[in-house]
Amino acid sequence: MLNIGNEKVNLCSGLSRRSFLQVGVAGLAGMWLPDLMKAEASGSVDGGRARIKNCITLFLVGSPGHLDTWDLKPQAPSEVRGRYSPIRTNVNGIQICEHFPLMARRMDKVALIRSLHHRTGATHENGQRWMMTGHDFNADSMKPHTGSVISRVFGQKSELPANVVLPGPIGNTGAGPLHGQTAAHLGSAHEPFFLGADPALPNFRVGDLEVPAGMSAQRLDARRQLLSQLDDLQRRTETSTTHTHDSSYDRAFRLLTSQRAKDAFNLNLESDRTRDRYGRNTFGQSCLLARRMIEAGVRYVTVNHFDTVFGQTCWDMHADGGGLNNTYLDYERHLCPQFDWAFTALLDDLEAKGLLQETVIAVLSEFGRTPRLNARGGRDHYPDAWTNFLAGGNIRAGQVIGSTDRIGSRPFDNPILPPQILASIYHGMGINLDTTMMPGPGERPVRLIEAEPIRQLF
Amino acid sequence: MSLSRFVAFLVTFLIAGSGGAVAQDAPVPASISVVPAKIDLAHPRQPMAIQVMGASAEGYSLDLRGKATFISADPKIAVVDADGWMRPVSNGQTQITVMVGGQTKTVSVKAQLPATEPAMSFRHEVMPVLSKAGCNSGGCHGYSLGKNGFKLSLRGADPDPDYLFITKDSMSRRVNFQNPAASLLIAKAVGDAPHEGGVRFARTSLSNQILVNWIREGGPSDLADKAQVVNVRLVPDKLVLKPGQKHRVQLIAEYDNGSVRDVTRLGIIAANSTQYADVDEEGVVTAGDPGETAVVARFERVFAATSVMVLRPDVSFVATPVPNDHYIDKHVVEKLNRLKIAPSPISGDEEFLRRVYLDLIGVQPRPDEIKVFLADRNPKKRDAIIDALFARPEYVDHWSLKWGDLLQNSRTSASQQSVYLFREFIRSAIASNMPLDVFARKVLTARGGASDDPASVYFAISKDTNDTLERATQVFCGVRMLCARCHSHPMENWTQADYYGLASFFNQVSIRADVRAPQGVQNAKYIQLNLAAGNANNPRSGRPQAPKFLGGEEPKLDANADRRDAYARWLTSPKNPFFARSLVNRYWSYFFHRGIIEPVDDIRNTNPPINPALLDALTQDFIDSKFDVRHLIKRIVTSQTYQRSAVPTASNKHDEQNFSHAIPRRIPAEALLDSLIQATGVQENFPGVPAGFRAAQLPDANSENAFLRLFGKSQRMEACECERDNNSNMLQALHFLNGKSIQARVLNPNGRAMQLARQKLSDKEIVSELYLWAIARHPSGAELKIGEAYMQKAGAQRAEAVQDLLWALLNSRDFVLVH
Repeated sequence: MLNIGNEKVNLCSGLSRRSFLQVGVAGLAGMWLPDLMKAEASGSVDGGRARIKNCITLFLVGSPGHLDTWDLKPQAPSEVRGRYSPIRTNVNGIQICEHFPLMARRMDKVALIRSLHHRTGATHENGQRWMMTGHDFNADSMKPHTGSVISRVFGQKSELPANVVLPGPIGNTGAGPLHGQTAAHLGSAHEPFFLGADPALPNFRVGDLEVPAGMSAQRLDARRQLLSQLDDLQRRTETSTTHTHDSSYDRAFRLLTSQRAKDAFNLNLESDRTRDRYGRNTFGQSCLLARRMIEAGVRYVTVNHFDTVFGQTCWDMHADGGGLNNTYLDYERHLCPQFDWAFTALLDDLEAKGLLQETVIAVLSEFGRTPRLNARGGRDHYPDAWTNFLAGGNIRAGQVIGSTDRIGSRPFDNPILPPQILASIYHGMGINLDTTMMPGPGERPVRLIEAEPIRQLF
Repeated sequence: MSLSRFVAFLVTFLIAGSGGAVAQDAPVPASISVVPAKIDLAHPRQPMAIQVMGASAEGYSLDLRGKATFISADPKIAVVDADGWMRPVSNGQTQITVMVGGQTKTVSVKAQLPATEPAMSFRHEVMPVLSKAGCNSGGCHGYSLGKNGFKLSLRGADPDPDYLFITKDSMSRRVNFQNPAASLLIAKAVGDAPHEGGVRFARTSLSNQILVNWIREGGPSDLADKAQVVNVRLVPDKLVLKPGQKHRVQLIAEYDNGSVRDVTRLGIIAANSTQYADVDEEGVVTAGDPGETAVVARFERVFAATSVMVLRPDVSFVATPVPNDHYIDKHVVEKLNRLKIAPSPISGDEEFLRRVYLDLIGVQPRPDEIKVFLADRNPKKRDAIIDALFARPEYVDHWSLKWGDLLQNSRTSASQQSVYLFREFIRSAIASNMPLDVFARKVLTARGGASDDPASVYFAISKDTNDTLERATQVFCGVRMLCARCHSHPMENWTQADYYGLASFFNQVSIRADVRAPQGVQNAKYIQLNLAAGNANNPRSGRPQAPKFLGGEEPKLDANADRRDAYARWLTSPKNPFFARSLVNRYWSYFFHRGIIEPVDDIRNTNPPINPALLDALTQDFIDSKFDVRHLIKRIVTSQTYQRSAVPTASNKHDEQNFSHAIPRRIPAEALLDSLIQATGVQENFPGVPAGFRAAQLPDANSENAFLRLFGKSQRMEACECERDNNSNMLQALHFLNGKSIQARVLNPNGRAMQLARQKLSDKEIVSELYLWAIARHPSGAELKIGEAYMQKAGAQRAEAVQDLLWALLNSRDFVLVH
């Protein structure tokens, strides 16, 4: 047993949480539903309270400036106000940037949180750690990605892994590898499944899932039959290790052979009209793929809008004239429209499929951008205030939570920290926030999240 | 009462109700004992129960209390009830007679009561209630910030502030002296008032009674009473039970003033694994499935454990003859005989050879090596191969990798040059079989920069003194101290005095930048000693804590001495209770699927060894050999116990704890990749290291490799064996089935499959060669048939068939697991 000790520990809800999440590296790899049953038995999940079953996170790597997107200050001085004008939305009193016309017509489905801030450094990675895990941490105290927690708590629902990242992991964003996109101590069974391919490419293929080049279906079948014959002859002993091994292979086989899994990745099954509606770019097609993943049983999908901030168009609007030369032009020509199309397509699509009720969409970023334009007309990193938003699930939409001061430099009321957003998602999914994780034997127990849900959301 | 508890109660009731039948089945006691033989009863509210215990002829423990008749010779001095609870009445001496199974035993009682009944005690009555109910646990009011405005010291470490918080805080709203039962403190706990923590105990419980009486008396303080619990013990200290059988354990606390107290109903008692045993509030253990566990008890912050063995009666069992030529086999078989488990036979040569290669040098044997070994007629060839493996370069790779993990050598915290120097230090220690005591002393007393003394990198990796002492204690003592940094250890008797006593050995060390390092070299560090440094401060007492050996004395040390020298001498002394014991346990785990104590780096009283005699014998042998690792390894791998087959017998298939047969384990990441490379003849290129490095030779986990990461290579962030993840999961299987690691190697035109396909070999020869390369054994007749049939069916696509066979073998169980 790999728990820290064996005395019964009581949850403050009065239930024993003797073994929940204590398994750490001894993770119950290869388990399906029992994870959930265990979690429910130990009081970590309250199935009856769960309104949200799935989550799609759209992560805006680089971070849009709040003053140029969802928290405009038309009354502020021009060096603060920036270039864009606000437009009205379908909710009285809520205005957003003119470059989100489609979103403006769906404001009644969105809860804007305008008073986000965090108190650690202004690197991309600081914000990523907060928003991906709900914690700040060092290399020696890694915390698991929210999707890995969901995978650990609820287990896998179908042939597909519970936690999928599209189109791939966040790469270099300047200050090291700690992005918060690993399963950390929850064990490799809960690592995010990175697609590792661009769904916007015409010949889009999925790494380990794809039939190896030059292999005929017959040959694959013959191989698998051969393997099962050989395995049968090797079945001399049954232990927990061999069970885990066998069930891992079973699951991998099911994933490889399942038509449903294969179809889930096949965007050609979507009409051209749908694909166009999401936008024929990596982000748009990833959002479409995210919807297909949820339909196929994935519980947590992260779509990274860009994998780096260097040498490409992205939200990181420093306008430095070099490798970080994103400007207003990029915002209005590429970024805002890309987002506006993909996000609203996803929203409409989930609703049309009846999935919006049970799926929350969280649009997250690392921080905001400086209230004052820099010398070249860009904005730099700014963790003191920014706007993110949620939609779907049982979230109370059509509202703005919190606000910033006149120039968007500080939360003015109801300041919100990143872990509160994740706490809200956990809460919506029925996870008891008193749940404690055991990062490893002999480690201090860590609360799943050190925050309470945002009350106005529910 | 919660539903589950109610059900448990009901079950207990039903079983008790049908007791007649159970009683008739019960074995006749072969022996009877009654404890205590004599007792001083000095407190009117502290009764003591008599344990009446027997043993059956088959060795089962019998709880005879329910069958015994208790009679007090003088009920005016002491009374005894039908359950055997003795209470003093007035001063004097008397005897209690216990009649059971036709025998009569006596307990002599001396009652010595104070003139008036003592006031209710906060320290000794109320505090245990708060602990037992979990009020002061870390998740509840013991949390450093309290809960909902009510804060208690963690696990009752500090009665003084707790007393004030309960009686004075919030204008004394928690206690109601007019109506004690209505006090908020009680109303919340019994469920009369809303309580986030739920109902903690019933109105009818002893806990409720204690709190009510204490408040009724005006909530007296006895903070001046400093009587301390010095020891707690469980009676009896071991139990052998049949599935379903019940036996009460008694929890006795011993105080520093010499008094003893029955705290069974005040302490916290639980089984380590409820699969094998469960314990109720009164200390009654109910045996579950056949197997073993420990029942662990805590009172105040002191622990005791009783081992519980659950055995199915088996009259047909024939004991295995106990081998006398190897102490490992002797102790293992003795234990198995007690458990009525027959061990598996010795494994065949191929199974043994693959296992010993993987365990000793981290790679499978090659076909030529297998053939030579099989052909060898030397009856001692298994011993001989072990010596040959010690001389292999891969032996150094394999064990330096392990020690690199344990000492956390990594470019994350030290410069590239330092990491290579430290790696080289470890490698030469392994290559020269440096005794482990010498190795530990060199590491723990190193100073200077990496090029002055490469072992100094051990300190360069530490974040601070606390990190150093935690790492050192975990690796060299197998003890985890982290908890005791901020509060008493929740599972062991360590306090902050123990923690900072260790810190004082290491706090003369300061880690500075090595100014001699060339410009641009990151993380070059220099270990400097500040001999004038004072002792580490214990934040609990606010005073410096003198150096104190773990669980031992505070040595007298010369001023200005390097205090690490004293620590290293203590650590590596043959008398040290941790060093040899924890290391042999750790090494044992490298050859079996578990340690004798498991986890290997979590040694504590509440985590007893599965086979104490075996652990003691290994420890003594290791000390006698002067900490010779190869001697230890050879002792282990030459035992029958190590060489047993992985195929279980009907009698041992449920046993995964007692080494009755080999338990399959997944091969660790590096050995798996190196074996895959050898099997397929296709190399892997690792970034950032010289070309040609094997996976086992990598300096740390910073050479990014998706395969090693997926298979759980240690990231070296912690001094814990758990840093390595040897579990299997779906993504690994997916990678094996469909990813490049196998697919590309199998198809490689210069790889094994294509080499074999190009040779003029018969189908049979090809299948045999593939088996030998891929899973290091010959195919069985049936396997050969399947292989040959597959080749024949392929016809002209012969090369593809060879590739497919290799692919299937590498994906089969026998490749990924070591048997």
